[in-house]
Amino acid sequence: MNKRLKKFLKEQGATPVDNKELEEYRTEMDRVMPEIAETIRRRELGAAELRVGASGPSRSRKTED
Amino acid sequence: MWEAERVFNAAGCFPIIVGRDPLLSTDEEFFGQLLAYMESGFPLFIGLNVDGDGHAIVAAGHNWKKDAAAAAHHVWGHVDTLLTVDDNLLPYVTVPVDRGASDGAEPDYSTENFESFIVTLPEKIGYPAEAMAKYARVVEARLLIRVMGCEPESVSLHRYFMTTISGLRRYARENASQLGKKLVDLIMRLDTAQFVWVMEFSSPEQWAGGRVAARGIVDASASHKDPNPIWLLHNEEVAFVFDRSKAELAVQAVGLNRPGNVPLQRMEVNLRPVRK
Repeated sequence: MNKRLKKFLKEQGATPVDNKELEEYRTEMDRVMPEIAETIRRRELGAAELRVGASGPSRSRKTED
Repeated sequence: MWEAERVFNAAGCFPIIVGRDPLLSTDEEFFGQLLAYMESGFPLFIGLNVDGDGHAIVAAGHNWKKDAAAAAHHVWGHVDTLLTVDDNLLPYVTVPVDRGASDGAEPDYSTENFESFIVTLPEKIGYPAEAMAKYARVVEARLLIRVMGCEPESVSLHRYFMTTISGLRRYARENASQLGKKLVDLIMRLDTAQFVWVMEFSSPEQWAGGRVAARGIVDASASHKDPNPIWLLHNEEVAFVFDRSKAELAVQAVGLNRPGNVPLQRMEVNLRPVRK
């Protein structure tokens, strides 16, 4: 956190949030991070399948020769 | 899609392909990502299948439903049509989300025909939309409801999009009377990366009125392994400022003293709203 923001928070009477209240957030993030990594892995897996998938007929407009 | 990806790569872009496969993700996840990138201002190259024929269009905008029923988690359920470019139907065509709406009219497809899309991102983006989908749920349940004391119904609907920090600050300056001086000052002093995700939380009723209950600013350049990618989270009354310079989670709460009874408005920063 930069000094400017720290000073501003102090001037505004900001108070630290009790770490006990943040415990559930911390625990949930520990649980969710591997899930996020797995979701990204599955998306990349899907992308890899799309790259090797055979192209079928296209309905795009053809340029006249 | 492979050929298109190669073209984007050759042009110096950083494309990611997102496929729609029920074995890999739900429709809500697929369309949630599609809308998140589109609302970030990135045009999307969309691959679709129409009666066995492959086709590609470019999506560049969308239209919200006027009278949307409550959506599950993501605001995709409130999208009515997408504004697209189809080389068979130039210059622009609106693609309905509801298949029934396309009966007998051009185009003869809807978003149900979408199979995949490519979004080309700036090099610095590290936190993808699918990470935001999961992170928004954590923020809703563990910070907004449990710590800030928001009513669960008021933060059940999620929306997230990327913007630049200068775009966010411009929005804050232009909406100073709505946000309040303290919140504007906070946004101006935040130590952020160039690209940020903006998360918005609302109830379906608030959404219908163009309002939100809470908003978060997340580091778009963070790794998906970052246990705390957020800088700022606020509702109408209080802001949590996260100190990401420390390994340990450290959060400061500050009262906002916003102008009385002024609701937080939905942010429209990347796509220009068009009035019909």
